[in-house]
Amino acid sequence: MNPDSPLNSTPEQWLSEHGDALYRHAYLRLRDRMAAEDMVQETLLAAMKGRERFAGRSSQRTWLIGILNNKVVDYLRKRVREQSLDHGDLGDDELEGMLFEADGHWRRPPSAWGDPDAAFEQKLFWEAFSKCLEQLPARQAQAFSLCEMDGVGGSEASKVLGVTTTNIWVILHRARLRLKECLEINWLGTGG
Amino acid sequence: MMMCREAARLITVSYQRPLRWREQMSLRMHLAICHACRTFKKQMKLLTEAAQRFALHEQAFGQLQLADDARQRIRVLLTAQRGDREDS
Repeated sequence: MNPDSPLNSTPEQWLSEHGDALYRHAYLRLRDRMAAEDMVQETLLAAMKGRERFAGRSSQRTWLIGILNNKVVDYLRKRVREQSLDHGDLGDDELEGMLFEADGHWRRPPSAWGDPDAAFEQKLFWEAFSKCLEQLPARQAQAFSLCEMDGVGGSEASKVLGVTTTNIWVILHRARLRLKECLEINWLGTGG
Repeated sequence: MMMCREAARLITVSYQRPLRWREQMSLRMHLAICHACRTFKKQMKLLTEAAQRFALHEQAFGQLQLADDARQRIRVLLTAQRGDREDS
């Protein structure tokens, strides 16, 4: 028997071992503390009921994250019907005004970030990246994590978030601009 | 003539959909003369790769933790539900 099987451990142990990881995963995608806590709870309850279905091909963590991903998407689907569209950031219009002159030129040229592999070796880069991701407005964080981190296509993501595909492009554009600005400040100490 | 703001939009949208021929041409012409936007394009490439790597290793970074009160609440609930199941 797979020693990592959830049949060999209790749900309380899953909570101890994976609680932080599940919370973090949910928080990065929802940007809402209470919602993320609820997702952890629902995931562990669902896992407890479905533990016999654990295939044993993946680790316990991967199995739980898989359940959590479904819960997060369900939550977003339900939740967006209650959100007004510019809640968060279709209304994030001042961002481009901060970065560009009225005539469309960069106010401050983007700085050279160098070789990606060298950046990825730096602890400081990942600390800054993580921090910047946590600071994105909710809608941008939801769209960016779905599309760029979880590999969900733009049209699927627009359905989950209840916006048009054109809007999802706008939201992702703003997420990228914000991350760029934030990284220049927190990673390279330039910008601002 | 395309301005940097528009070029930046095309660069980010190119990660979501293929650019139309006209868009490709005008972006290419802009990039040929604009060092800042070439830099921005490289930044976006790095950002995209970083997001994918981060997704694989997200647990290694950052300090977010499940709050103690939430943890306690969930633990109590799990124990209660488990009791129900074993009784039934």
